[in-house]
Amino acid sequence: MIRTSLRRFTLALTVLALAVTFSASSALAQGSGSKDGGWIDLIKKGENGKYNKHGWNHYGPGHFSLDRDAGVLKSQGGMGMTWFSEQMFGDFVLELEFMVDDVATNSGIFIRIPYVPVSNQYIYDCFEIQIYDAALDASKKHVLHEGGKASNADNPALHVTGAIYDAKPPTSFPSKAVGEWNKYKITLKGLSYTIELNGKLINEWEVRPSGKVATHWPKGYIGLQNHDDRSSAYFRNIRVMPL
Amino acid sequence: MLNKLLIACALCLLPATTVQAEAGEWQELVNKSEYGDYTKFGWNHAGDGYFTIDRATGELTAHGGGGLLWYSKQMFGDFELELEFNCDSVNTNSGIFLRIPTLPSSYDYIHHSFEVQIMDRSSRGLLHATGAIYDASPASKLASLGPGKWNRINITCDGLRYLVVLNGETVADWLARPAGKITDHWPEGYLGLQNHHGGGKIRFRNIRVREK
Repeated sequence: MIRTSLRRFTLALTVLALAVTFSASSALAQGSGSKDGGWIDLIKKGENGKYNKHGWNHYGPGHFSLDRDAGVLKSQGGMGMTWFSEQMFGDFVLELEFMVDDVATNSGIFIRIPYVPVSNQYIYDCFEIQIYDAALDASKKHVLHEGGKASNADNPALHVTGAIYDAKPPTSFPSKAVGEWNKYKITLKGLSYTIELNGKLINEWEVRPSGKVATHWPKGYIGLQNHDDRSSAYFRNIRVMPL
Repeated sequence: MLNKLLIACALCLLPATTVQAEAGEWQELVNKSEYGDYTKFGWNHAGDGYFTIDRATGELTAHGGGGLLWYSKQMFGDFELELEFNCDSVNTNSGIFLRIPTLPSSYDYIHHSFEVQIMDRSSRGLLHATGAIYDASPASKLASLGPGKWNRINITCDGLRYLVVLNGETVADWLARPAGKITDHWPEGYLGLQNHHGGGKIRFRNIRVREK
Protein backbone atom coordinates (compact mmCIF):
# COMPACT_ATOMS: atom_id res chain seq x y z
CA MET A 1 0.00 0.00 0.00
CA ILE A 2 2.75 2.38 0.96
CA ARG A 3 4.71 1.26 -2.07
CA THR A 4 1.68 1.93 -4.33
CA SER A 5 1.13 5.39 -2.94
CA LEU A 6 4.86 6.11 -3.18
CA ARG A 7 4.81 5.11 -6.81
CA ARG A 8 1.79 7.27 -7.48
CA PHE A 9 3.55 10.11 -5.72
CA THR A 10 6.65 9.43 -7.79
CA LEU A 11 4.66 9.44 -11.01
CA ALA A 12 2.92 12.63 -10.04
CA LEU A 13 6.25 14.23 -9.22
CA THR A 14 7.74 13.02 -12.46
CA VAL A 15 4.91 14.52 -14.45
CA LEU A 16 5.32 17.71 -12.46
CA ALA A 17 9.07 17.75 -13.01
CA LEU A 18 8.66 17.17 -16.73
CA ALA A 19 6.02 19.87 -16.94
CA VAL A 20 8.30 22.24 -15.07
CA THR A 21 11.22 21.33 -17.31
CA PHE A 22 9.24 21.92 -20.49
CA SER A 23 7.68 25.15 -19.29
CA ALA A 24 11.11 26.29 -18.09
CA SER A 25 12.76 25.66 -21.43
CA SER A 26 10.00 27.42 -23.32
CA ALA A 27 9.63 30.35 -20.96
CA LEU A 28 13.26 31.33 -20.81
CA ALA A 29 16.34 30.24 -22.65
CA GLN A 30 18.41 28.65 -19.89
CA GLY A 31 22.16 28.58 -20.27
CA SER A 32 23.59 25.14 -20.88
CA GLY A 33 26.97 23.89 -19.81
CA SER A 34 30.06 24.98 -21.70
CA LYS A 35 30.67 22.52 -24.52
CA ASP A 36 33.99 21.18 -25.69
CA GLY A 37 33.85 18.48 -28.34
CA GLY A 38 30.65 17.06 -26.93
CA TRP A 39 31.75 17.33 -23.32
CA ILE A 40 29.78 19.59 -21.00
CA ASP A 41 31.66 20.88 -17.96
CA LEU A 42 29.30 20.89 -15.01
CA ILE A 43 31.40 23.28 -12.91
CA LYS A 44 32.11 26.42 -14.84
CA LYS A 45 34.00 29.66 -14.43
CA GLY A 46 32.27 33.00 -14.44
CA GLU A 47 33.35 36.11 -16.32
CA ASN A 48 35.63 36.94 -13.39
CA GLY A 49 37.66 33.78 -14.03
CA LYS A 50 36.47 32.14 -10.80
CA TYR A 51 34.48 28.94 -10.54
CA ASN A 52 30.87 29.25 -9.38
CA LYS A 53 27.93 27.01 -8.59
CA HIS A 54 25.77 28.15 -11.48
CA GLY A 55 23.78 25.22 -12.76
CA TRP A 56 23.57 23.49 -9.38
CA ASN A 57 21.02 23.22 -6.61
CA HIS A 58 21.25 21.57 -3.22
CA TYR A 59 18.57 19.48 -1.57
CA GLY A 60 18.43 18.47 2.09
CA PRO A 61 20.65 19.03 5.14
CA GLY A 62 24.26 20.15 4.85
CA HIS A 63 25.76 21.73 1.78
CA PHE A 64 28.75 21.79 -0.56
CA SER A 65 31.41 24.48 -0.43
CA LEU A 66 33.27 25.44 -3.59
CA ASP A 67 36.93 26.40 -3.95
CA ARG A 68 36.52 29.19 -6.50
CA ASP A 69 40.10 28.98 -7.72
CA ALA A 70 40.44 25.20 -7.96
CA GLY A 71 36.85 24.33 -8.88
CA VAL A 72 36.66 21.70 -6.13
CA LEU A 73 33.37 20.91 -4.39
CA LYS A 74 33.64 19.76 -0.77
CA SER A 75 30.79 18.03 1.06
CA GLN A 76 29.70 19.49 4.41
CA GLY A 77 27.32 17.73 6.81
CA GLY A 78 24.38 15.76 5.54
CA MET A 79 22.53 13.86 4.43
CA GLY A 80 21.88 15.90 1.32
CA MET A 81 22.75 16.19 -2.32
CA THR A 82 23.89 18.79 -4.78
CA TRP A 83 22.45 18.19 -8.23
CA PHE A 84 23.05 19.69 -11.62
CA SER A 85 19.73 21.36 -12.31
CA GLU A 86 20.30 22.85 -15.76
CA GLN A 87 19.36 19.69 -17.58
CA MET A 88 18.53 16.00 -17.31
CA PHE A 89 20.74 13.42 -18.99
CA GLY A 90 19.57 10.12 -20.48
CA ASP A 91 22.38 8.20 -22.18
CA PHE A 92 25.73 9.71 -21.31
CA VAL A 93 29.33 9.34 -20.18
CA LEU A 94 30.05 11.05 -16.87
CA GLU A 95 33.65 11.64 -15.85
CA LEU A 96 34.75 13.11 -12.57
CA GLU A 97 37.49 12.98 -9.99
CA PHE A 98 36.85 12.45 -6.30
CA MET A 99 38.93 12.32 -3.15
CA VAL A 100 38.07 11.34 0.40
CA ASP A 101 39.70 12.77 3.53
CA ASP A 102 38.99 9.70 5.65
CA VAL A 103 38.62 6.01 4.92
CA ALA A 104 35.12 6.26 6.44
CA THR A 105 33.98 9.02 4.07
CA ASN A 106 30.60 8.12 2.68
CA SER A 107 29.36 9.69 -0.53
CA GLY A 108 28.16 8.77 -3.96
CA ILE A 109 26.96 9.89 -7.33
CA PHE A 110 23.26 9.73 -8.12
CA ILE A 111 22.33 9.25 -11.74
CA ARG A 112 19.05 9.75 -13.58
CA ILE A 113 17.24 11.40 -10.66
CA PRO A 114 13.85 11.55 -12.37
CA TYR A 115 12.42 14.74 -10.80
CA VAL A 116 13.31 17.78 -8.75
CA PRO A 117 14.04 16.30 -5.32
CA VAL A 118 11.66 17.57 -2.64
CA SER A 119 12.06 14.75 -0.12
CA ASN A 120 14.36 11.76 0.37
CA GLN A 121 12.15 9.76 -1.99
CA TYR A 122 14.70 10.11 -4.80
CA ILE A 123 16.92 7.44 -3.23
CA TYR A 124 14.24 4.90 -4.16
CA ASP A 125 13.87 6.11 -7.75
CA CYS A 126 17.42 6.20 -9.07
CA PHE A 127 20.75 4.47 -8.56
CA GLU A 128 23.81 5.70 -6.72
CA ILE A 129 27.38 4.88 -7.66
CA GLN A 130 28.84 4.50 -4.20
CA ILE A 131 31.92 6.00 -2.57
CA TYR A 132 32.77 4.19 0.68
CA ASP A 133 36.27 2.85 1.16
CA ALA A 134 35.57 1.68 4.73
CA ALA A 135 34.01 -1.44 3.17
CA LEU A 136 37.10 -2.24 1.08
CA ASP A 137 38.73 -4.76 3.42
CA ALA A 138 35.50 -6.64 4.12
CA SER A 139 34.65 -6.63 0.41
CA LYS A 140 38.02 -8.08 -0.57
CA LYS A 141 37.68 -10.82 2.07
CA HIS A 142 34.17 -11.56 0.86
CA VAL A 143 35.42 -11.98 -2.69
CA LEU A 144 38.18 -14.32 -1.49
CA HIS A 145 35.74 -16.53 0.42
CA GLU A 146 32.80 -16.45 -1.94
CA GLY A 147 34.71 -16.28 -5.18
CA GLY A 148 33.03 -13.00 -6.05
CA LYS A 149 29.75 -14.74 -6.82
CA ALA A 150 27.85 -13.81 -3.73
CA SER A 151 25.03 -11.39 -4.33
CA ASN A 152 23.30 -11.71 -0.99
CA ALA A 153 22.22 -8.64 0.89
CA ASP A 154 25.02 -9.09 3.44
CA ASN A 155 27.68 -8.65 0.79
CA PRO A 156 29.73 -5.62 1.93
CA ALA A 157 30.76 -5.07 -1.69
CA LEU A 158 27.20 -3.91 -2.44
CA HIS A 159 28.05 -0.75 -0.48
CA VAL A 160 31.73 -0.23 -1.33
CA THR A 161 33.33 2.28 -3.69
CA GLY A 162 32.47 1.18 -7.22
CA ALA A 163 29.22 -0.51 -6.27
CA ILE A 164 25.89 0.41 -7.75
CA TYR A 165 24.55 0.91 -4.27
CA ASP A 166 22.44 -1.94 -2.95
CA ALA A 167 22.25 -3.42 -6.45
CA LYS A 168 25.52 -4.62 -7.99
CA PRO A 169 28.98 -5.01 -6.41
CA PRO A 170 32.13 -4.12 -8.36
CA THR A 171 34.39 -6.90 -9.59
CA SER A 172 37.54 -5.26 -8.19
CA PHE A 173 38.52 -2.46 -5.85
CA PRO A 174 41.06 -0.06 -7.35
CA SER A 175 40.40 2.86 -4.94
CA LYS A 176 43.40 5.04 -4.28
CA ALA A 177 44.59 5.94 -0.80
CA VAL A 178 42.89 8.57 1.35
CA GLY A 179 43.92 12.02 0.12
CA GLU A 180 44.56 10.93 -3.47
CA TRP A 181 42.34 11.76 -6.42
CA ASN A 182 40.34 8.93 -8.00
CA LYS A 183 38.72 9.03 -11.40
CA TYR A 184 35.29 7.67 -12.17
CA LYS A 185 34.00 7.09 -15.67
CA ILE A 186 30.32 6.18 -15.62
CA THR A 187 28.55 5.24 -18.84
CA LEU A 188 24.79 4.83 -19.10
CA LYS A 189 23.28 3.66 -22.34
CA GLY A 190 19.74 2.40 -22.23
CA LEU A 191 19.62 -0.28 -19.55
CA SER A 192 23.39 -0.71 -19.55
CA TYR A 193 25.41 0.77 -16.66
CA THR A 194 29.22 0.61 -16.95
CA ILE A 195 31.70 1.91 -14.38
CA GLU A 196 35.43 2.41 -14.66
CA LEU A 197 37.47 3.44 -11.64
CA ASN A 198 41.01 4.72 -12.08
CA GLY A 199 41.12 3.32 -15.62
CA LYS A 200 39.89 -0.13 -14.68
CA LEU A 201 36.54 -1.60 -15.71
CA ILE A 202 34.94 -2.64 -12.41
CA ASN A 203 31.20 -2.87 -12.97
CA GLU A 204 28.91 -3.81 -15.84
CA TRP A 205 25.23 -4.21 -15.23
CA GLU A 206 21.84 -4.24 -16.83
CA VAL A 207 19.64 -2.07 -14.67
CA ARG A 208 16.54 -3.38 -12.92
CA PRO A 209 14.82 -2.53 -9.62
CA SER A 210 17.20 -3.82 -6.94
CA GLY A 211 17.70 -3.46 -3.21
CA LYS A 212 16.07 -0.29 -1.97
CA VAL A 213 15.62 1.11 -5.46
CA ALA A 214 12.05 0.49 -6.61
CA THR A 215 12.00 2.38 -9.91
CA HIS A 216 14.50 3.63 -12.46
CA TRP A 217 13.99 6.04 -15.32
CA PRO A 218 15.39 6.68 -18.78
CA LYS A 219 16.72 10.11 -17.88
CA GLY A 220 17.26 12.40 -14.94
CA TYR A 221 19.53 14.73 -13.02
CA ILE A 222 23.05 13.96 -11.79
CA GLY A 223 23.70 14.47 -8.06
CA LEU A 224 26.59 14.29 -5.59
CA GLN A 225 25.91 13.17 -2.03
CA ASN A 226 27.01 14.88 1.19
CA HIS A 227 26.34 12.07 3.61
CA ASP A 228 27.39 13.22 7.09
CA ASP A 229 29.55 15.65 9.06
CA ARG A 230 32.26 13.19 10.12
CA SER A 231 34.35 13.50 6.97
CA SER A 232 34.23 14.99 3.51
CA ALA A 233 34.24 13.96 -0.13
CA TYR A 234 35.78 16.27 -2.75
CA PHE A 235 34.83 16.46 -6.43
CA ARG A 236 36.41 18.18 -9.43
CA ASN A 237 36.60 18.06 -13.23
CA ILE A 238 33.00 16.91 -13.54
CA ARG A 239 31.96 16.58 -17.17
CA VAL A 240 29.27 14.84 -19.18
CA MET A 241 29.09 13.76 -22.78
CA PRO A 242 25.53 12.99 -23.91
CA LEU A 243 25.39 9.90 -26.13
CA MET B 1 -26.37 23.08 11.72
CA LEU B 2 -28.12 26.37 12.35
CA ASN B 3 -24.71 27.95 13.06
CA LYS B 4 -23.34 26.68 9.77
CA LEU B 5 -26.32 28.10 7.89
CA LEU B 6 -25.86 31.44 9.59
CA ILE B 7 -22.17 31.47 8.67
CA ALA B 8 -23.01 30.54 5.09
CA CYS B 9 -25.56 33.36 4.89
CA ALA B 10 -23.08 35.78 6.43
CA LEU B 11 -20.44 34.76 3.87
CA CYS B 12 -22.91 35.43 1.04
CA LEU B 13 -23.37 38.98 2.30
CA LEU B 14 -19.64 39.72 2.33
CA PRO B 15 -18.06 41.43 -0.69
CA ALA B 16 -17.02 38.99 -3.38
CA THR B 17 -13.29 39.69 -2.92
CA THR B 18 -13.42 38.62 0.70
CA VAL B 19 -15.12 35.37 -0.20
CA GLN B 20 -12.46 34.78 -2.84
CA ALA B 21 -9.71 35.22 -0.29
CA GLU B 22 -11.24 32.42 1.73
CA ALA B 23 -10.94 30.03 -1.21
CA GLY B 24 -7.56 28.50 -0.39
CA GLU B 25 -6.46 26.61 2.70
CA TRP B 26 -3.36 27.83 4.48
CA GLN B 27 -0.47 25.59 3.54
CA GLU B 28 2.64 25.42 5.73
CA LEU B 29 5.83 25.45 3.65
CA VAL B 30 8.11 24.09 6.38
CA ASN B 31 6.85 20.77 7.65
CA LYS B 32 7.69 17.99 10.05
CA SER B 33 8.88 14.61 8.90
CA GLU B 34 7.23 11.36 9.93
CA TYR B 35 9.67 11.35 12.89
CA GLY B 36 8.33 14.64 14.25
CA ASP B 37 11.32 16.86 13.44
CA TYR B 38 11.17 19.77 11.02
CA THR B 39 12.91 19.21 7.69
CA LYS B 40 13.64 21.09 4.49
CA PHE B 41 11.39 18.72 2.55
CA GLY B 42 10.03 20.65 -0.41
CA TRP B 43 12.93 23.12 -0.61
CA ASN B 44 16.09 23.37 -2.69
CA HIS B 45 18.93 25.84 -2.52
CA ALA B 46 20.58 27.52 -5.50
CA GLY B 47 23.78 29.54 -5.40
CA ASP B 48 26.28 30.16 -2.64
CA GLY B 49 25.81 29.73 1.09
CA TYR B 50 23.00 27.68 2.56
CA PHE B 51 20.16 27.62 5.08
CA THR B 52 20.09 25.53 8.22
CA ILE B 53 16.90 24.45 9.92
CA ASP B 54 16.19 24.13 13.64
CA ARG B 55 14.69 20.66 13.74
CA ALA B 56 12.74 21.42 16.91
CA THR B 57 11.19 24.77 15.94
CA GLY B 58 11.34 24.79 12.13
CA GLU B 59 13.22 28.10 12.04
CA LEU B 60 15.38 28.61 8.96
CA THR B 61 18.68 30.51 9.32
CA ALA B 62 20.58 31.94 6.35
CA HIS B 63 24.35 31.48 6.04
CA GLY B 64 26.66 33.16 3.54
CA GLY B 65 25.47 33.93 0.07
CA GLY B 66 24.28 35.04 -2.35
CA GLY B 67 21.89 32.26 -2.71
CA LEU B 68 18.25 31.33 -2.66
CA LEU B 69 16.20 28.75 -0.83
CA TRP B 70 13.17 28.11 -3.00
CA TYR B 71 10.07 26.06 -2.44
CA SER B 72 10.28 23.52 -5.24
CA LYS B 73 7.11 21.53 -4.77
CA GLN B 74 4.87 23.90 -6.65
CA MET B 75 4.56 27.28 -8.31
CA PHE B 76 2.08 29.81 -6.99
CA GLY B 77 0.12 32.27 -9.15
CA ASP B 78 -2.31 34.42 -7.16
CA PHE B 79 -1.68 33.90 -3.48
CA GLU B 80 -1.21 35.32 -0.03
CA LEU B 81 2.11 34.58 1.69
CA GLU B 82 2.67 35.11 5.37
CA LEU B 83 5.87 34.66 7.34
CA GLU B 84 7.95 36.01 10.19
CA PHE B 85 11.56 37.13 9.94
CA ASN B 86 14.18 38.24 12.44
CA CYS B 87 17.40 40.07 11.49
CA ASP B 88 20.38 40.30 13.82
CA SER B 89 21.58 43.59 12.30
CA VAL B 90 20.28 46.63 10.42
CA ASN B 91 22.75 45.62 7.70
CA THR B 92 21.20 42.19 7.20
CA ASN B 93 20.33 41.86 3.54
CA SER B 94 17.70 39.38 2.46
CA GLY B 95 14.38 39.24 0.71
CA ILE B 96 11.47 37.19 -0.47
CA PHE B 97 11.31 36.33 -4.17
CA LEU B 98 7.91 35.92 -5.77
CA ARG B 99 6.87 34.07 -8.91
CA ILE B 100 10.32 32.84 -9.98
CA PRO B 101 9.30 31.57 -13.43
CA THR B 102 11.84 28.77 -13.90
CA LEU B 103 13.89 26.40 -11.83
CA PRO B 104 16.70 28.70 -10.58
CA SER B 105 20.10 27.41 -11.69
CA SER B 106 21.97 30.73 -11.84
CA TYR B 107 21.32 34.31 -10.69
CA ASP B 108 19.19 34.91 -13.78
CA TYR B 109 15.98 34.81 -11.73
CA ILE B 110 16.67 38.24 -10.24
CA HIS B 111 15.74 39.76 -13.59
CA HIS B 112 12.50 37.83 -14.00
CA SER B 113 10.82 37.95 -10.60
CA PHE B 114 10.16 40.58 -7.96
CA GLU B 115 11.74 40.57 -4.52
CA VAL B 116 10.20 42.02 -1.40
CA GLN B 117 13.34 43.44 0.14
CA ILE B 118 14.60 43.00 3.69
CA MET B 119 17.32 45.49 4.65
CA ASP B 120 16.72 48.10 7.31
CA ARG B 121 19.75 50.27 6.48
CA SER B 122 19.78 50.77 2.74
CA SER B 123 22.11 53.11 0.90
CA ARG B 124 19.40 53.78 -1.66
CA GLY B 125 16.63 54.72 0.70
CA LEU B 126 13.20 53.19 0.69
CA LEU B 127 13.55 51.73 -2.84
CA HIS B 128 15.90 49.09 -1.40
CA ALA B 129 14.66 49.04 2.19
CA THR B 130 12.60 46.50 4.09
CA GLY B 131 9.12 46.24 2.59
CA ALA B 132 10.05 47.64 -0.84
CA ILE B 133 9.46 45.76 -4.06
CA TYR B 134 13.19 45.83 -4.73
CA ASP B 135 14.28 48.31 -7.40
CA ALA B 136 10.67 48.75 -8.48
CA SER B 137 8.41 50.26 -5.84
CA PRO B 138 9.75 51.88 -2.66
CA ALA B 139 8.38 51.10 0.77
CA SER B 140 6.03 53.83 1.94
CA LYS B 141 7.82 53.75 5.29
CA LEU B 142 10.25 51.64 7.27
CA ALA B 143 7.83 49.55 9.30
CA SER B 144 10.26 46.91 10.52
CA LEU B 145 10.83 46.50 14.24
CA GLY B 146 14.65 46.43 14.21
CA PRO B 147 17.28 43.81 14.98
CA GLY B 148 16.34 40.91 17.20
CA LYS B 149 12.59 41.40 16.78
CA TRP B 150 10.24 39.10 14.93
CA ASN B 151 8.52 40.93 12.09
CA ARG B 152 5.39 39.61 10.46
CA ILE B 153 5.06 40.20 6.75
CA ASN B 154 2.06 39.47 4.59
CA ILE B 155 2.45 39.56 0.82
CA THR B 156 -0.45 39.27 -1.63
CA CYS B 157 0.05 38.72 -5.34
CA ASP B 158 -3.24 39.08 -7.18
CA GLY B 159 -2.80 39.42 -10.92
CA LEU B 160 -0.64 42.48 -11.38
CA ARG B 161 -1.24 43.74 -7.86
CA TYR B 162 1.54 43.30 -5.29
CA LEU B 163 0.49 44.19 -1.76
CA VAL B 164 2.91 44.13 1.18
CA VAL B 165 1.78 44.50 4.77
CA LEU B 166 4.57 44.65 7.34
CA ASN B 167 3.71 44.43 11.02
CA GLY B 168 0.15 45.45 10.22
CA GLU B 169 1.07 48.45 8.08
CA THR B 170 0.66 48.57 4.31
CA VAL B 171 4.09 49.47 2.97
CA ALA B 172 3.65 48.66 -0.74
CA ASP B 173 0.60 48.42 -2.96
CA TRP B 174 1.74 48.30 -6.54
CA LEU B 175 0.74 47.23 -10.03
CA ALA B 176 3.60 45.24 -11.54
CA ARG B 177 5.47 46.30 -14.64
CA PRO B 178 9.09 45.82 -15.71
CA ALA B 179 11.09 48.11 -13.43
CA GLY B 180 14.70 48.57 -12.37
CA LYS B 181 16.67 45.41 -12.95
CA ILE B 182 13.52 43.35 -13.55
CA THR B 183 13.01 42.96 -17.30
CA ASP B 184 9.91 40.79 -17.20
CA HIS B 185 7.52 39.23 -14.73
CA TRP B 186 5.30 36.19 -14.84
CA PRO B 187 1.85 35.18 -13.68
CA GLU B 188 3.15 32.33 -11.52
CA GLY B 189 6.34 30.92 -10.16
CA TYR B 190 8.30 29.65 -7.18
CA LEU B 191 8.70 31.39 -3.83
CA GLY B 192 12.25 31.91 -2.57
CA LEU B 193 14.12 33.25 0.46
CA GLN B 194 17.41 35.02 -0.07
CA ASN B 195 20.68 34.53 1.79
CA HIS B 196 22.56 37.54 0.47
CA HIS B 197 25.89 37.49 2.29
CA GLY B 198 27.41 36.51 5.58
CA GLY B 199 27.32 40.04 7.08
CA GLY B 200 24.06 39.90 9.02
CA LYS B 201 22.03 36.83 9.80
CA ILE B 202 18.35 36.38 9.18
CA ARG B 203 15.91 33.78 10.42
CA PHE B 204 12.50 32.87 9.00
CA ARG B 205 9.61 31.01 10.62
CA ASN B 206 5.88 30.27 10.27
CA ILE B 207 5.97 30.40 6.48
CA ARG B 208 2.58 29.70 5.01
CA VAL B 209 0.72 30.42 1.84
CA ARG B 210 -2.79 30.19 0.52
CA GLU B 211 -3.84 30.40 -3.07
CA LYS B 212 -6.49 32.87 -4.11
